[in-house]
Amino acid sequence: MGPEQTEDELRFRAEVRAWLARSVDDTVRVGRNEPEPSREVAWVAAEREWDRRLHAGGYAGLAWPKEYGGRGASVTFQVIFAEESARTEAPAGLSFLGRHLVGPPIMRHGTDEQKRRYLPPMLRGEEIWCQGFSEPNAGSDLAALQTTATLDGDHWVVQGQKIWTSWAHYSDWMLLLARTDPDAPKHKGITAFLLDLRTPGIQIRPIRQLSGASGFNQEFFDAVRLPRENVLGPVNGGWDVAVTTLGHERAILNAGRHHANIAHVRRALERYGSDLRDGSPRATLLLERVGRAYAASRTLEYLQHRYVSGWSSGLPPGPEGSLLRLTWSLAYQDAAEVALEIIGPEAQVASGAGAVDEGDWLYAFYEARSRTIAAGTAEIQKNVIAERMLGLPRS
Amino acid sequence: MHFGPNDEQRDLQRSARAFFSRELPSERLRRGLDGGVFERDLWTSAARLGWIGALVPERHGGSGLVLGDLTMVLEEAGRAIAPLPLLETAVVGALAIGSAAVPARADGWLSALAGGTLIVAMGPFHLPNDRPAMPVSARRDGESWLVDGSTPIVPFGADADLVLTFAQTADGPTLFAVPAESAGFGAAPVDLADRTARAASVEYHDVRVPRDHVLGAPGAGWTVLEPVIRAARAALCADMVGGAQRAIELSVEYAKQRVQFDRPIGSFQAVKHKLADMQLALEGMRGLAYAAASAAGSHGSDDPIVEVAKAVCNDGYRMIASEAIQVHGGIGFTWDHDLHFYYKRALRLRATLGASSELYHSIGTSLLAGRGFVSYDEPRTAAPAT
Repeated sequence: MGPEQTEDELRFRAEVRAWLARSVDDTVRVGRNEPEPSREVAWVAAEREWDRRLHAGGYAGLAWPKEYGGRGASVTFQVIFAEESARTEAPAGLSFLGRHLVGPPIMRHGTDEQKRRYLPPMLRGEEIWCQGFSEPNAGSDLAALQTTATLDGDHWVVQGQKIWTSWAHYSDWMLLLARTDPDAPKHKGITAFLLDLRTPGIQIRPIRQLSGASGFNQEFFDAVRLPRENVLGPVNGGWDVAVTTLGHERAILNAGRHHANIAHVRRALERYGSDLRDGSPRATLLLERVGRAYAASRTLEYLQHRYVSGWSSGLPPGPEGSLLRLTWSLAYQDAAEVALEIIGPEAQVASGAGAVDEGDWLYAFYEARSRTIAAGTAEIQKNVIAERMLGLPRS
Repeated sequence: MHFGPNDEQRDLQRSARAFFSRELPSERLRRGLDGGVFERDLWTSAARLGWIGALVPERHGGSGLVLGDLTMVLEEAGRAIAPLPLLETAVVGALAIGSAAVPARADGWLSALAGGTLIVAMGPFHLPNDRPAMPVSARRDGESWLVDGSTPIVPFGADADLVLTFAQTADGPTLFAVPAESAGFGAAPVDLADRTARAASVEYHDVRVPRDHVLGAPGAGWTVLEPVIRAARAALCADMVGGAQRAIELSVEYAKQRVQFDRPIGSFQAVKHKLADMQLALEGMRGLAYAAASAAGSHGSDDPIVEVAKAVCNDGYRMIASEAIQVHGGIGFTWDHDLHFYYKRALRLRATLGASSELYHSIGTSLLAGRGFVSYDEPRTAAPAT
């Protein structure tokens, strides 16, 4: 029943583990997913350094086919890399969104010229990409997007706005979805574009998040002129491109994240758990909660093993990605909250001398809320599970 | 990377599903609800298929399979609400006798067990954390032991030929195999919520038990039971997964066909999201059940994965069995609908060998002591094929 790994998989895991042990050091380990203003410069530098190390180590293109400069690794090997990265709490790299979310649709839908032009610098981390999908009036209902692109001679003219765009303020390029046929049914009038963010008419405003950090942005496009050849895939065929980016990548990206959750709880117990040995009512109840939080992450661990085992024997990834994502989101929230309980009321101090570990625990507690919103809300994931796994009728 | 049942195990699961749907239709299950008899035919057929003796070595007439194989049958038994002492006999009986009975006894017991003619009941085994003192005690009397006390809830206690009893002795907790035919042994039916378990309260009035009926050394009861309980918990997880799966299937089917406000109720998000939550719980339970079946076969690990699995399955099955009734509305609350079988089995199984609150607390306490993180320090190596 396993999990059982092959010799090759064990060898690869050992290789990755040794490389990570050498490569993840204090230069790149900055502790948080996204920085608040005081840490931003250091964070960006660390993420860029990680991009360089990943590429030099040959791991940047692990999942990419060999013809595009990657290693063509199987799903299992990608998962092993993700697991080991999570275990060592390695950074993602600023090129992360490009490599995982923008690269695959370019490989699948791009022209030869586009592949030659965009893929190599993306892989090297020299051009950073973001994903311009959500809009103020198109969140869960992405296909309702209203930003328009109109053909004017040799250019498309983009008008509208995007929001919740992670890392747009660090990006050079955006994979943009815009409406090109307002009269077509909503899924059929959308086109994907490759947009140079230095084009005149683009304004990018970082949004200050609940945590104080600015990981995402709002962008305004005013008569932005985009060369005609920067369409990705067919005109009005953008929905298929969007679906490619939302495919099984998402499930693989989350691989191994139980490690990070468990490490979080473990650190909280090691540093602040000593008063839980006193048998008090608080200790008794809290230790039960600790057990529950840990169990939620172990649940995630074996759910992932089971799905990945199925994928590596060739089954197409389906709505399991939604189920994994939701399980992870809930397990993360559990881990973040129980850590605060272990620390006690002083965990509320956000900054200054009284802040516990410079507010890192609090930051995870803040981040927890985004987990059931980003990449599809929990409610959307439940719709996917109900409709595509259980076959229930659409609402 | 492979995780989950292999091809042979899937075949076994298919056979077990076919067997239970053929041999145990709902009408037959219902006949047993009001003071029916032990399903001897069903038991004998299962024995003939090699399932009762699955964990018994071939030299004792068993099938020589591993726990992971047997859990395929147990999952189907849970799905079918099988009123059979599979946990007690095929898992606990086979493993406790197989690992700890004296050779002179082991062969006779194991071959009868595998042949379907020795039904074993158990406990309850009081775990170290349990508050009440062990209700059964034993003392030496010449060449034998005298066992005395009573246990209020013993599933299949009146059907068993042999009851495994955990008793306090001067040497410490000791495991005895008490023949039901012994003088001073009495079993009276108890109307447990889950009637398919055919519970009895068992009394021991100075029951004389020969020395060779002690499993393991006197005072070494825990050493014998610990691995057996791990396996039993993994087995319970499989049963709970099977039942939860069926409860979801019934609910999904109903939500698709039941029309209110001119639409199938399964198109309403209030219902749909409930079903998604049930599916989310089930998928998590299933992975853990496989992991537990795999881990319970290996020894000497600090990894609390079996306890995690039991606790998560307890909670998941409870939620799924409850929400299945909610999705069905009034019809779900009737005696005539099958859902109450699942609701009541979930109640019994989560109380058997570890309730969630105890397990989570014990896991949390281990983590505080720095145990349970073992698997995260070293890469997983290929596990033995279980």
